[in-house]
Amino acid sequence: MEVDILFKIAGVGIITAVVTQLLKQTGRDEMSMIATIAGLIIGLLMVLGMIEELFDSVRQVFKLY
Amino acid sequence: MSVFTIVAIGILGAVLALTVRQIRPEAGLMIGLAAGILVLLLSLAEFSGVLDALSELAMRYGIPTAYVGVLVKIIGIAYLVQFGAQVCKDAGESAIATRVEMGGRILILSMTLPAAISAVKAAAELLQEAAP
Repeated sequence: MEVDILFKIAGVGIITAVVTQLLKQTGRDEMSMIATIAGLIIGLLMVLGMIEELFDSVRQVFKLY
Repeated sequence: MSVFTIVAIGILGAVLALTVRQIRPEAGLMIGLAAGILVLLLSLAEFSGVLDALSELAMRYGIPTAYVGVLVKIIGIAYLVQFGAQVCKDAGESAIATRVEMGGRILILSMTLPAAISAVKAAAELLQEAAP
C-alpha cells in the first residue's frame, strides 16, 4: 500500500502507451482510443481508494462531519 | 523517522511523474495525486498528536472547547481544500482551483461566523456594563 502504488500507476501508464501505439500502428484507431480510456479508468480506480482513505483520516483527525 | 519517507516519496513521485508524463499526461497526473496523498497521510499521522496536545492545553487553561473544535475543523477544511486546489492546478485547470479555494473560504466563513457573533455580543454586553 505504501510506495508501490506509484510504480503500479506508472506501469499502467507505460503499458497503456505501448498498447495504444501498437493499436494505432495496426490501423485500429478506435480500439486505441478505448485502450486509452481503459488505462485512465484503471488509474482513477487506483487513486480513488487512496482519496477515500485520506478523506476518512482527515475527518477523524479534525473531527469534521 | 518519517522525514526520510516523506522526502523519498516526494522525489520518487516527481521522477516517475516526469517519466510517464511524456507518453501519458493523465497517468502523470495520477502519480502526482497518489504521491500527494501518501505524503499527506504520513504528515496527518504526526499531526493528530499535536491536535491532542493543543486541546489538552486549552482545557487546562479554561478556553472553551467549542472554539478549539471550530479552529481544528477550520484547519482540516483548509488542509483538504489546499490539496484539491493544488491537484486542479497541477492538471492545468487553475480556474477550477480558484473555485475550489473560493468554496473552502466560504465554508470557513460560515464556520467562524457564530464565534464572531458571540465576540461582538460579548463586546456589546461589556460596553453596556461599563457605560449604561
